[in-house]
Amino acid sequence: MCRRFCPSTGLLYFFLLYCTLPFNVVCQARDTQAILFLTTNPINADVLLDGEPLVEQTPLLLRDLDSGSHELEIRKPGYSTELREVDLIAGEIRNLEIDLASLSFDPEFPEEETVMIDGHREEAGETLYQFPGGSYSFNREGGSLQIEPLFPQDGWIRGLNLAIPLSVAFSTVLTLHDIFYPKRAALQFTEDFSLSPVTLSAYGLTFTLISFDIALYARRSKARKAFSYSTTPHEQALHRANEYYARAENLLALGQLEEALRFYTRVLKGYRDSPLYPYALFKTARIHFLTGEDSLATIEFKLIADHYPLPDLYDKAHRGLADILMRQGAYQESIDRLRRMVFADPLYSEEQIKLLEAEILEDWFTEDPQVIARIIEAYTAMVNGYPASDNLDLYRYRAAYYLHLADRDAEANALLSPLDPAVLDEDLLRRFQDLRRSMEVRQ
Amino acid sequence: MKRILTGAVLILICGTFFCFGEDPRDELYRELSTSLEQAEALVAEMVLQDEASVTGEQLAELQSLDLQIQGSLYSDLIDRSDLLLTLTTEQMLFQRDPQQLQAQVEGLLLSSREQARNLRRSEVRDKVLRTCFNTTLISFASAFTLWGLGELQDRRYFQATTIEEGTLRRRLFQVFSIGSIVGAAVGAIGAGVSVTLYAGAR
Repeated sequence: MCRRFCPSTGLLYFFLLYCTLPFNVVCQARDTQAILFLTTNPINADVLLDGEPLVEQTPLLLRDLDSGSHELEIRKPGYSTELREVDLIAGEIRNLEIDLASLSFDPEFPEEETVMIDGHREEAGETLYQFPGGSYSFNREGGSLQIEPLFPQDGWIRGLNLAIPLSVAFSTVLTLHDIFYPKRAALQFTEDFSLSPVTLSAYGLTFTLISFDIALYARRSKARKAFSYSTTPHEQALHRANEYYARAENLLALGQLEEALRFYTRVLKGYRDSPLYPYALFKTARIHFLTGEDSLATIEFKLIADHYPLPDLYDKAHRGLADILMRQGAYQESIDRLRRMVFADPLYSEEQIKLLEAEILEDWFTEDPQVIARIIEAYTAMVNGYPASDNLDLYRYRAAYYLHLADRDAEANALLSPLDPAVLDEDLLRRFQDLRRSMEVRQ
Repeated sequence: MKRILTGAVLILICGTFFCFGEDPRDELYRELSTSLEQAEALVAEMVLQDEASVTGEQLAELQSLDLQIQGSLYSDLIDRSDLLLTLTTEQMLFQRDPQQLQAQVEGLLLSSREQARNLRRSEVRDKVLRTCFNTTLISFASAFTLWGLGELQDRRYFQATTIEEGTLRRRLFQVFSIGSIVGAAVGAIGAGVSVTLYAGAR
């Protein structure tokens, strides 16, 4: 185990870091339908697409979406429900990240032994509190911290407590006015006493204010009874995942793979909802892949590809699985994995992956000569599909080479004829000349 | 001299035995490591076959192996076994049976619809409450204003110099008085409705 920083592990770290650089790109999908990567913070939220609930939770890869407007409803217990409308263009790959606002706020009081919450004494220290969203007052009285929930009705009740006596006084003045200056009035009680409409209105207003006050008191009392909070150990707080992840990254930078793995595993064990979970999974997968622990790497890459498809990890996970399968000699499965890539990741191009597919077929050819037809097809498709590619000469040469092996020299000649030996690099020129010679010998 | 030589040879033999001899701890390590590798390979294989899934019994076996490894104090094996168990459990979380899945989907749909219904209802109630409260305020304000205007007409009635003007002032006074009463009545009804709606809002 290398304990000191060594350049090779430093390079490994930078490679892993580069592999997971966050990005937000909009690029072109291959087909006419749109692709949507949907991720939330925290992850594992339920999604309804156009009113239909989806079985999988976030992060999600929604393939084959029709272009146009789509409604998304994202729900997670303890968080506010998000409603979004996305307009997708045909062939587009969109990345949508939604931050779900928590309906609670989670304070910690590490320097307090106890706190008084709504009149109850609670242990503080390493405890994480979860209070429902709202206003609270914090006072320090008698050495202990007192937290009182503030109800939205409090302000109105204070205002009404001032307004009601004024309104009563005003109504009384008007009544006295009606008694001392009797006139034709709205409500005749006796011959000498009647109430004018304005006095009645004043009483009506007073009655309204009193009724509102009573309703507000009732609501506040109901809210007080319903007020509850929960506590969780500090260790389970989601932000701890960030700390563990950061420590793992630092250890990885120092080349301490085993220690780094331990901290990534901590993220995986205790923080399923953390947005860093898929990244920790990817890092462990890469480390296991590089250290030859293919089984673990397979499980991890597969989890990312199937259940945590982030736009910057999805293609890498499939590529990782393809590499492992190729290493195991499962060539067709390896190619199938490559074909599931969506090229949302700028690290890979379609041409590059098609070339890799052809190279896998070449490896396969060493074990099964019947694959030759597929190799020829793959390289011919590349010659036709990427006429402006820098590697066009190489594709032509390889297609011609396998055509020659398949005794189809006429087609090989046709493919080689546009090649100008003067512009070929040394290695390719040598191989080109060897092929030409071999073809001449056969003729 | 002979004894010294014999002693040295014996020490050498013992040293060789300790250095190259089979350590029972290594044997245990190999055994556990092989079991773990096999378990990893099995889970990986099942994961790659999309239809296959890890069963409860297999998970129990894995847990038992993990317990064995935890007791062995081989830190590298402990970490690997721990991770394998975590990943397998994670993988199993996604293998829900169709009934459970349907229940989840139905629950989600139901709560979404209920929330949408509540939202609509609350929007309507808020709108009615706002309208009623505004009507109440306007009605009371108009009752006050009309009463003021009626009082003014009443004063002018006494100051009237002609019969026509007196009749007009008297009639206007009556109109304003009735308007004021109507305003007060509408205000009182509006207040009743507003308070009921407000108290009924959850």
